[in-house]
Amino acid sequence: MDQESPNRRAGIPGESDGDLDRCLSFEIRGPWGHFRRVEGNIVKQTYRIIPRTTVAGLIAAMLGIERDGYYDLFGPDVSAIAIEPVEELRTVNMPMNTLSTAASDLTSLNPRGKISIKLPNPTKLRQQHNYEVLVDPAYRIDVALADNEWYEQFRETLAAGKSHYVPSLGLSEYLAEIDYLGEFDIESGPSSGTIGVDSAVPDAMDDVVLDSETRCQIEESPAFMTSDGGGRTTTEYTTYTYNPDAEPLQVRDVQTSRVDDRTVVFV
Amino acid sequence: MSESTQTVENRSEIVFLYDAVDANPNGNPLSGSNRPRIDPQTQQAIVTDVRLKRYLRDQLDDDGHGVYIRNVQDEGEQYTRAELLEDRLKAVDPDDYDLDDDEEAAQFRDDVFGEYLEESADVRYFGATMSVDTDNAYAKHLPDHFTGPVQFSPGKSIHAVNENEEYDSLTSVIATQEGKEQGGFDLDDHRIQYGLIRFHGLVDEHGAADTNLTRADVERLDTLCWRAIKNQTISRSKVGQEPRLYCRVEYGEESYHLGGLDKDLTLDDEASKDHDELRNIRDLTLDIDDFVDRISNASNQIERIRVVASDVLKVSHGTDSGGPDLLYDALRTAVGADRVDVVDIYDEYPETLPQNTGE
Repeated sequence: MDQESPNRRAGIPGESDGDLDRCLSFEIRGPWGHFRRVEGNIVKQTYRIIPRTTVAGLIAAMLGIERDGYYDLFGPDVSAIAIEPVEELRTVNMPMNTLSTAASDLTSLNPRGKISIKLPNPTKLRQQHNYEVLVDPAYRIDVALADNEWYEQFRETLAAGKSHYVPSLGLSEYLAEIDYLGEFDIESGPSSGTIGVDSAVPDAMDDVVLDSETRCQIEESPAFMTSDGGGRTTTEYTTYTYNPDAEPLQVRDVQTSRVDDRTVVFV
Repeated sequence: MSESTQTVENRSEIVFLYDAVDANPNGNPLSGSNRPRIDPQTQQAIVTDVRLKRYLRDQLDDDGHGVYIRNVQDEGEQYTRAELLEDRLKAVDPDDYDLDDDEEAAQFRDDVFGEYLEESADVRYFGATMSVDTDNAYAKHLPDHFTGPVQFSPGKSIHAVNENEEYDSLTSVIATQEGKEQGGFDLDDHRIQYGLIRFHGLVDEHGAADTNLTRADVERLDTLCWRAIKNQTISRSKVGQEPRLYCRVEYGEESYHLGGLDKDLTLDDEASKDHDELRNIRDLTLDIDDFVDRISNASNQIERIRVVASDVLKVSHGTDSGGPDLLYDALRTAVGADRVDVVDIYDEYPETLPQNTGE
């Protein structure tokens, strides 16, 4: 693999068992979305860009892979994902009355047995939480997988308009629609000078060429996970720079890729 | 196993419309006086999935089905869901199971949660949160929550709405509690003049196994949604709401659904009054062209359609306009008459009640 490999950013070694030189493209959209920010407190704020880990979970759900069963498939060396917002990113507040799940508010059953189950007590007063939710979010996702078998299966799933579990945007009630856009080669894009990038730009916040006419925002979200004894742990974060108006951003000297006549940056 | 207790094998997509006249279809608890939730940019009213599920749970409860998430403080003599689960936990000894064996692991799971799920219709539909505290050997065989196989997106009005400001001073003379003569304050009563609310739902056939959702549960939705809006919109701010259209498309092909079917039902702007003049269902006509087209295009993947519309709902299809029969006939043309089933709510619902009541 030559040095200008489009996958260099994703840290993909040339010797991986499948090539990351082609990707599947689809659009996901829905009336609502919520990707809870990990650093949030009582106000449940949302990421604007669907996090890479959420994309991985979404694809796993479409393929019918169980929770905690897909982190290796989307590891840093064997997958590449580019995310492009295709509609303006807008939020509203969606306050909710919820039952507390704090330990002191749970009803504990059979605490001395081998199995103890704690349930929220529905007779307790509700807590009021403000959820910041995305309105009509829509993203184009380009995804490459080194695992040929899953890649082929995902292509068939998309082409048939199917999804094993029903797709959603962050929370199971925020139902989503998927549009398959096709399979595309990943070609080397420009890497020097000022480049207009269509996707959200990962880890390049210092390289953005600011322009008074163009809005530009930054957020850091989970990128990779691994399973551990109790479930899962985030192993790496990505800082995305993006234009909330779903327009391209100008960046300088960033290694880009070309997919379907668009310029994107993979993670 | 009888037909009615089989776990769901077909995916369903649901479109449910109801309207609100001089009501507050879903208050925002963090706003002053619980104002209606309204998208500030589009002026559409918003109704959360939580609000809809509360109506459905209350109707399930009234019908005598077990409901886990209830509002009642006083359980009386009734066995609580928690007690039910507690009894099961005492009766189940994990050491009696060979958890390396898939079938025995499934039996273990069913012995812990089976009766709880059977007695908690709402958990079968919408899931529940819990935490399972056990050593790892058992934890991986027990779910730490139940994701509901039935999901509704938060709904929105099909059109921009107006708040009815005339109710502002209504409550100053109403006593807040029995025995108290003084009126309440800060009880301004905000409502919208009119809103036709559109909900979208999906039944996930692959998630159904996790909560033991049965075919009968899904068929119950065909009358439950309608009756819940009819019967459970009884508090002061919720009166004035009526179900207008329910349609459940049941797919034959596994893992397939059209998606976003609700968005294909829109107002026929030419045949409807302007958005700010809408006051009741007779002021509007629903355009069903796109809805029928998409269903027609997917007719090979559709097993059957269960549909019912209010007798006063007007629809337009192509150059025709008419009542519910125009919609029913268009669907029959789209997928074949034998696959379209008009729901007779009050004829059908007694069949969906718990078997052990009414005797």
